[in-house]
Amino acid sequence: MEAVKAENLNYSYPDGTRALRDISLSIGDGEKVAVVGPNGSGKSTFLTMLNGVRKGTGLLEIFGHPMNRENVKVIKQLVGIVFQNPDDQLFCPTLFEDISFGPLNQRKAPEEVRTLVELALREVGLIGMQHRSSFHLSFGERKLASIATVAAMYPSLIALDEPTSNLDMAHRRKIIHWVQKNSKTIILTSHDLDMILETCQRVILFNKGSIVKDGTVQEILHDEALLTSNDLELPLGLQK
Amino acid sequence: MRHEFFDHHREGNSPLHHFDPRLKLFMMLFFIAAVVMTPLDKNILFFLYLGIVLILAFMSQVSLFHFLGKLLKLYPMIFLISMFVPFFPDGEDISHRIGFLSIYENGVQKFLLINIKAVLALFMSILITTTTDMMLLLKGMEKFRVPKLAIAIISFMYRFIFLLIDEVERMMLAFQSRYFRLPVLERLAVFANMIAVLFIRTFERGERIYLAMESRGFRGEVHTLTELNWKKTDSTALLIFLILLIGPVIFAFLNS
Repeated sequence: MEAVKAENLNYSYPDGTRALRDISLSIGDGEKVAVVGPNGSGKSTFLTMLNGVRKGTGLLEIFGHPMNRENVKVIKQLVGIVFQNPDDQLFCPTLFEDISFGPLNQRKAPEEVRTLVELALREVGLIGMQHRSSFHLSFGERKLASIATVAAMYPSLIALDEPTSNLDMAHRRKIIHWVQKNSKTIILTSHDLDMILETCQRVILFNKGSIVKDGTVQEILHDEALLTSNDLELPLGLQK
Repeated sequence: MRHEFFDHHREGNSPLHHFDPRLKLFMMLFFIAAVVMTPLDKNILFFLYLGIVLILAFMSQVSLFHFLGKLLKLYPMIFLISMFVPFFPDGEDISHRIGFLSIYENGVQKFLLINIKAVLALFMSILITTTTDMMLLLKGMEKFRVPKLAIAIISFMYRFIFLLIDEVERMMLAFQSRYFRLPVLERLAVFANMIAVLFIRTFERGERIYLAMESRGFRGEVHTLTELNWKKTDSTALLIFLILLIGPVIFAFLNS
C-alpha cells in the first residue's frame, strides 16, 4: 500500500506566497525518503501537510485515506511529525507529560500510557529523565525527547523536519541509528546530506515549491551539477 | 521552559494537595462569593475569612512567604485600580483637605473594602492554584461543565506564559550583550520596541506550538493520566469548610 500519494498538491500561505506547486509523488509503506532543497523550497510545508496541519488543494492520500475533514482524525493517528525546533514540540512541565500528551489524546488507558512513555524514552536513550523539565535538557536531549513524543504514539509514518540540525556528533549519531533501525515509513527533510546517505534509499529534490527530481540516493546525491544548480553541494563524504 | 517559576509546589504531599480539584474549585468559588458579598459593617467576618485562608495555607505545608511573595507581585494591580477611589465623594460624604486634594471618608472606606476583598480573594486563588496540578484543575472545570472554549483558553494561557518568560529571557540576553549605557528615555524606547517584537515572536511561536499540539491529536479536550476521584475525606473537608464559612456568616447577619 502507498503511504503517501499526492497529485497536483498546491499550498499558498495566507499572504499569498505559493509554497508548493503541483506536487505529485508516491511513497511506499516502509520507504525511507529524504526531501532536500534550499531554504524556502517548501520542504517543511510539505511535511506539515502530511497530517492535515496545513490544508492545501489537490489530492493527498495517506495510507489510502483521502485528506479531508472526516479522515483527518484517523490520519493524525497515522502520521507523527517531529518539528525542527524541539522547543516547539516540548510544552509541558515535565518530559513525562510531554511524551504522554499524544497517547492521552489517543485515549489510551493510563497503564498503557505509562508503558508507552517508558518505551519511547528507552528507544531514544533518555530513560530515567521522565521527571525532568525540558528546560534542563541539552539541545541534543531535547531533540531526542521531541522524537520520543511522536514515537510514543506509534504512528505508521514519521515525518522528521531537520532532525540533525545543530546537533553534536554523539546526538547526530543517535538519531541516525534511530532512523536506520526504525521499520516505519520515514520522510525527513534535511541539509545534512551525509546523514541522508546513511539513512535513506530515495531522495526528492524540491526547489521553489516544485519537485526538480525524484530518484535514488545515487541518482541525486552523487550528481554534483544537479545539486549545485539547486544551491546544494555534494555530501562531504563524496567530496574529493 | 521555566515551569518552576509558576508551579513548583504542585506536587506536594499535604492534605490540601490531596483534595479533589473539584472540591478546591468549589471552595475557591464559594469563598470568593462570600468575601465579595460581605458589606463593610460586617467587618468582623473578614477576620474569619483571613483565618480560613491561613488555616488552608498552614495545611498546604508551603511557606507562607511563598504565598505572600506571589500576593505582593499581584497587589500593585489592585492598588492601581483602586487608588483614585478615596478622591471621589460617595453621596453626602465628609471631606478632608490635604493641600489641594480632597479626600472623602466614604471613599477611603470603599478603598479599604476593595483592597481587603481583593487581597483575600487573591490569597485563596493563589492557594488553590499553587497546590493543584493545572491540568487536574482544568479537568475539574470540565467536570463542572465550564464551557470548552474557556477551558481551552486557560490551558493555552498556562502553556504560553512559559513561552513568554522564555522569549523575554532570550531578548534580555541579546539586549544586555550589546547594551553599554543609554539615557533613560532611549532605554525606554528600546524596551517599548522589545515589547512589540515580543508580541510578534510569541504569537508566531505560539502558533508553531499549537501546530505541534494539533499534530499530536489535541482537539481542545483535557486528558490526564489520573482520573478525578472524589473521596470520603473530600466530603468531610467540604462539610467542615461550609460549617466554618456559612455558620458565622449567618450568625453575623442574624445579629445585625
